[in-house]
Amino acid sequence: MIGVVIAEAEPQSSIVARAIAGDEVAFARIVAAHHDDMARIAFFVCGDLDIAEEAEQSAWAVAYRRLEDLRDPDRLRPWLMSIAANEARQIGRSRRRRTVRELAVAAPTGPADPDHAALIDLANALARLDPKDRAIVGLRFIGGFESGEIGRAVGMSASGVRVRLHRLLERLRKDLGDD
Amino acid sequence: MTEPGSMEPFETRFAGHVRAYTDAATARRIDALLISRTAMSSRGAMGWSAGRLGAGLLGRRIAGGRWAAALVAVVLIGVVAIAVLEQPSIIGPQTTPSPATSAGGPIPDVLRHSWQRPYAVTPDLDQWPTGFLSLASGLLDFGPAPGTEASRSAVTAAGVDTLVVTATVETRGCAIGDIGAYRWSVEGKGTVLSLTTIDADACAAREEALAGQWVRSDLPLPGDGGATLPPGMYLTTAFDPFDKPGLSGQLSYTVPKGWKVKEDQAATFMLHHLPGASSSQTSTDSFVFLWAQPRMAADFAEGAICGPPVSEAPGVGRGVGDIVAAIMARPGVVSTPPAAVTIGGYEGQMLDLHLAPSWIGGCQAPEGPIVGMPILLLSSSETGPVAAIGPETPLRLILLDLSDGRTMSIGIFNLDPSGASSFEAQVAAVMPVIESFQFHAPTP
Repeated sequence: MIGVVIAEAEPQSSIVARAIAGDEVAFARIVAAHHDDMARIAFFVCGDLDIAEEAEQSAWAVAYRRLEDLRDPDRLRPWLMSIAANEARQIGRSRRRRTVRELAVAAPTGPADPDHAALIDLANALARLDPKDRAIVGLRFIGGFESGEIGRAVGMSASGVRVRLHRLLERLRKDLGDD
Repeated sequence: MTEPGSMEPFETRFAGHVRAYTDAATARRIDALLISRTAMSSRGAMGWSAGRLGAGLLGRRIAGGRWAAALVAVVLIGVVAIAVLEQPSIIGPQTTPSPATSAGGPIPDVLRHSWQRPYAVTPDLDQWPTGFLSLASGLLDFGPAPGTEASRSAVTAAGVDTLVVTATVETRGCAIGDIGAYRWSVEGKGTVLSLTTIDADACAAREEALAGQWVRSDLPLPGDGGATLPPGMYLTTAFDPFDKPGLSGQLSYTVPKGWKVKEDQAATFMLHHLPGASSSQTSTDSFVFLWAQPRMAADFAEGAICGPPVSEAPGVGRGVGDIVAAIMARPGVVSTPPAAVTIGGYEGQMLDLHLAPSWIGGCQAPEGPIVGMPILLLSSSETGPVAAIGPETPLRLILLDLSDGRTMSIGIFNLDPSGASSFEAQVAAVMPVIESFQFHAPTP
């Protein structure tokens, strides 16, 4: 039997090191492990599936180029998500000429669906936020990151993120009618 | 405002909405290896060189046998692809990294279907008792059942009869990047797919799962009583001629124009030929019934009320010889001499049964007496279906010995308003369908 490769647990630091050394399979493992988070945050920030896909692709290229700069492999996830958020912000900004905005919310399968209506409300509420604010909210609620981590991603202090998040959530609460 | 560990109720609700809202972004299928290669190739503009790639591969070889093995597999597949195409393939050794999907073309349309195993996939691996395979544009999913259990690979065509698959997720013994090459062929109007590995798949579990025969599973459900089947080879969905609990035996059959499946249950299967659907076929409704594990039915007691239950004839075994002997000995039954037959490699006996003209036995229905005789019980249940013969409904019965004490019966009926006069001609027209049967035995 030729070429039997058995999957085995491998520390993240080792995978990152091999990816930095040019191991495409190691980097593919990173892609597979973090694709969902990258796709979610990119979409949350830009609100457009096509732009999100483009942003994620761009983010992977950026991530690979900068992988050597990642000092702590345990911070790989927030580091990747912040790259995706920033790529989505930049690409989304360059597409502002778009005048018709599609709400990329899956159509309901049955009669009036309150959850579906809630998602449309959310999409509309997010569309009224600045992309940077969407990144802050997304990194908290998709990434689950603390304020310090979010601050590093968006260039703010932890206390500044806390204040900003508080205001953003108050605004979203009103916009979503969740008083 | 709270930190993630202690969210307020609104934040908890909001987090749920955020997840639901962003689910749409994760629905897209990805090829992690392709993304990896694309991301790495973007570095070319920043100084990526052949020398660096070479160092990377060499480094893998030094680092451990698994990477050396993967490299060997890549090289071998490259050689194979070159032999097939008679032109360079970028699946093999390269000087610059390139996306995997550019190595070959899109897979042929004839393969882009859902497939299922006609029998257990890998006898020694419990996790593969059955199998499904989905081939779409650039993606191959396989596993014991559709859904979350699937393993995924990117797939491209490399030549007219070769597929190259690259694992894109880490599942079931496959590591991302594991490559395999398979030669494919289809038969039976594209309903049966055979995959044969070329050398060894880098992922042995995938090779065990994929290599072998597959049957289309996305055909219109034949049993819905709707459209007739296009001529071709098909596989039973639920019917198991071997009737072995927990195992998955199946039967393939080939039909010409004009047939549809009326029933496909675990122990019974029924094909129906529509009158006038083909000039070369029967001119009346013809039915082919298949029953797993039939038993000899007791005759009606005198004055019995029609309807179940019909009991099993006492003292009659369940083997082919036992049932044939009991039928031949049954008063009121006129039978042709049993003829030896072989269907799908299994031997058996065939006989045509008529009710004796003088026979007046039967049962009592509300509208009056019904002349007839039960022959076989077709289910383990006493209230299950019964095969019977009547004055104008003769029956061709084939009993096959499936070995291991298991018997399967095939019955052919006609609904011919002219009575039994054309029975032989009608049945003869149906026999090619019977003779096409192939049994896919369950693996012990």
